Amino acid sequence: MPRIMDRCIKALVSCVFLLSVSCMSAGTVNKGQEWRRINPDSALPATSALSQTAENRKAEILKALAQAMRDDAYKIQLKGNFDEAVKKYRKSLAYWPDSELGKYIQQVEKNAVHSLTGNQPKNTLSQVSISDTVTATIRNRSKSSIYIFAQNKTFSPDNFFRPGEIRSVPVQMSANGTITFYAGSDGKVIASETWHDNPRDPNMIPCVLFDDLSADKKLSVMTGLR
Amino acid sequence: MKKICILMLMVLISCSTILSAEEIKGQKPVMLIGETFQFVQGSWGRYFIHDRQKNEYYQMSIAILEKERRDWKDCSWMEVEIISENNPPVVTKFLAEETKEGPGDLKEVIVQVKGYSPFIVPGSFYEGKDKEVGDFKTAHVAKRIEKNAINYKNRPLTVWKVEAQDPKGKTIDALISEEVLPIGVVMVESPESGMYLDDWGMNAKSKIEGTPLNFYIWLIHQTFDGMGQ
Repeated sequence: MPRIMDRCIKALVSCVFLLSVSCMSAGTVNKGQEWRRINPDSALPATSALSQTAENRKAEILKALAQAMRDDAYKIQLKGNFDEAVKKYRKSLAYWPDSELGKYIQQVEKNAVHSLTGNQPKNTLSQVSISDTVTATIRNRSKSSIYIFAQNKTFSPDNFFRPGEIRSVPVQMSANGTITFYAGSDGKVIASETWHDNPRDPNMIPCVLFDDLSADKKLSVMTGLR
Repeated sequence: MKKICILMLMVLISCSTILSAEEIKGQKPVMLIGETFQFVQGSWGRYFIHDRQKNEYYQMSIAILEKERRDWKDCSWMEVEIISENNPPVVTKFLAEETKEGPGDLKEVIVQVKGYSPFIVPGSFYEGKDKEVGDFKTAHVAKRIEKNAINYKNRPLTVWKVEAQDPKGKTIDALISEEVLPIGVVMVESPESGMYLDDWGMNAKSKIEGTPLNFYIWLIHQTFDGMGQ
């Protein structure tokens, strides 16, 4: 009988201990949240193996999709339909921002009889407000984490990008239709670039690439097509 | 003696609350797109899921095991394994009615948390509206946008970019393919979560190890195991 009593008391103590641990954890979380509020840099999402692999898979799928579009665009380009090819290339940029493709598109556009902007019907321009929000595709090609954000935003966990991460982010246009993007870390901006390519067309979106190994420029902003 | 019995009962109730809460904690909602689901025996798919609201990542594997007739209906034994960062892996094996939209009513559910014996979940957990197990969020394709032939993981795939609507009417972007069995999803993006295909194939086998116990017997086993340590 004393052995049973002993076990029961041990079990009760365990329950009280578990409850105490839960309360302590909750307290630690609250304190942690308060600390993160004061120190936003400390609120960096954890880069665990699971999260990194998940982001890699997402990037691989988007890259595969963009590659398929590029291949289609090239076939169209070979047939001499430059306008359609450029559209398709720009669609691929919306999935996978790539500065080399951005430069290539500019070359193809020179060959096109009409540029995309030239093809826009005039009556639609006045219908679209240039102070709208657009969804930008942002990709961090570097091997380190970075903050990438548009004007009117600042360093925060919402604009933290893990190495290789790519995602769509809604951004607000300025009154003149431009959007300036910034990249930085430790509270310091290290690169900025402004997008001003036909903001009146709601199908055109900024595609941002951060590449710290690029000899050209670290932050590139291209125009993609939704 | 009476006091000891009451004390033991209290301990048992306290332990069951803790254990069942822990067991439910490992369960995650599974996102499906109705039109793409195929009950092909032996097929399996593995995904990474990002729960954006909790900023948690986990890996989900889904498999179609053997078929069975239950209550005069065509059913399939299915299995979902969740591997998360902060909880032990949880395998849920269930017998689900085959419907056009994917798994329907559940007939039997077995759960195994890694390191524990498997147990049979009481019907009250998955019957009715407030399901604790088998919480399938089935979305429907609202619009097919674009077809592409991609090469993913060195395998050619014909994919459709679609707009789907979740049960709450929210629009989600998805990439689907009939070649990816069993659930046909390549990628799903919504403000709440993201789901990305990792691998898929055939010859799925159950990951449940050992003989499933009745839930209450399982609870008593765990309680006495805990007390013995």
